Amino acid sequence: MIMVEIKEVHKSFRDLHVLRGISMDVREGESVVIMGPSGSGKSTLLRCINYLEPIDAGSIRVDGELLTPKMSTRLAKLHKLRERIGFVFQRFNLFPHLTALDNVSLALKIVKKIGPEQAEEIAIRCLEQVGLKDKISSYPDQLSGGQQQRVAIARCLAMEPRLILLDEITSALDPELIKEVLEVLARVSRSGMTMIIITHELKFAKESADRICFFYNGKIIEEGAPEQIIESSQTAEAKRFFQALT
Amino acid sequence: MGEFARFGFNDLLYLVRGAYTTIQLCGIAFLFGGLLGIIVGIARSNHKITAFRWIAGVYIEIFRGVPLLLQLIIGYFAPSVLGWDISVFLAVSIVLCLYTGAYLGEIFRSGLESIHKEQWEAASSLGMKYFQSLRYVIIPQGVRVIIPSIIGFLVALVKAICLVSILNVVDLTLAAQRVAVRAYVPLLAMGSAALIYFVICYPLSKIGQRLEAQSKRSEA
Ligand SMILES: Nc1ncnc2c1ncn2[C@@H]1O[C@H](COP(=O)(O)OP(=O)(O)OP(=O)(O)O)[C@@H](O)[C@H]1O
Ligand SMILES: [Mg+2]
Repeated sequence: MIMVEIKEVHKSFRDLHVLRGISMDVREGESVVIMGPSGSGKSTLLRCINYLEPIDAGSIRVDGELLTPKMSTRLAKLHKLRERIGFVFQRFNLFPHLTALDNVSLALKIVKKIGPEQAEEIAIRCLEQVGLKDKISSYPDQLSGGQQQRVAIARCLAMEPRLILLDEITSALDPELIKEVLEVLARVSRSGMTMIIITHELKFAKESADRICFFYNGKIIEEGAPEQIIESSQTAEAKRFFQALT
Repeated sequence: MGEFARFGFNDLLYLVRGAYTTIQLCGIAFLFGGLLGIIVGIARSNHKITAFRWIAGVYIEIFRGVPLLLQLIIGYFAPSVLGWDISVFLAVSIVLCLYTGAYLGEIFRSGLESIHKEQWEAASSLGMKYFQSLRYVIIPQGVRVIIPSIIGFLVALVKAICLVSILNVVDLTLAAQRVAVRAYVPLLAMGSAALIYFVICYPLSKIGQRLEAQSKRSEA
């Protein structure tokens, strides 16, 4: 089954044409990594997929829901859809006024309308999964970056999403904290979760991705198996990009 | 100090009643103006519906731009010109509510906008609707930011309410003036009034400081 079907998507910010005809499919259970230079439109595409950002042309079908140009980003069906799509952000975006436990359980209670006790049970289980059982009552600013990002992953997993979008979730972290987050991520990927991951971590891409899409200037100019893209890319742009990374 | 001899229990009672009126007006203005301010602040920071933002903006600018005394005088005469039969106290209360709504609306707006767009996005990405995001994510954070401004406004409001004495509403200031003249105890009457204002305002500032410190601690 196709989880995400992106067809000829265009997106501009004023005169800046950021996405210039993106098409890609993601099958259920697949982990697709998006790579590419800064400003090539990677984050923008991810934000369009759960319609935090409206598209100008083309279409996106996510888990059966068709997203078309110029829809309001506050449509009721979008709330329903976002409930099923997890999003993990570069800067974690935890709720600073809530403990780790409440960060994870809030949406369970108010969006999924799960009773408080059961919601907390689920939240504790998810925090356990990311190795943070002992931090459930800590506030975000009492946690390290790596721990915060793992809470964010737990917050996302707790909703039992059909698809998870991850935007450079390790690039705000110190090198020694990256590993713990990537390990969690690899585990989630192995569990059969469908994921679209923007990352610069080559090792992770090789080990955990089913496919890499290489973005350049608002287009996917190469797509294929990780090894193939990273080691024997066809285009000069991709070659240059991967050389700089290794 | 002959003033003490002339200052009777009735005079003190009169001052206290004036103080009560001041507090009453302040409470009404804060309660209803606060509710109005919440609506105005949300409308003002809503970037989707331009009409709301614009109307709220005009309202805020008018009530913050015109001297309160002038607003009160207009509020005093307008009902009778329009043929409405309402008491001066009610007219004055309405003006104070509108005035407070404008100031608090602007404070609430700044509080809402002090919360980074990413928090909205995090909430949306979890499937929360606009008002759920506001209620559970944005407002709890915004409130901490604006507590000092709210308290500051309240303290200013308590003192600004003395302007109603121009319209013969017997607040603390007018009560003091009348006692001063009636019993000829100007220093004592005004001094007592000043003391009462201080007694009202000082705890407010203290509460504000306490709340501010508390919210800082729970963030740490
Ligand atoms: N809300 C916005 N308003 C205006 N321009 C924007 C907005 N969001 C992104 N852009 C612009 O769109 C372009 C693509 O941004 P995007 O964030 O998608 O790039 P990216 O590939 O994720 O880059 P990076 O690797 O640096 O994160 C950039 O030039 C950026 O400045
Ligand atoms: Mg990006």
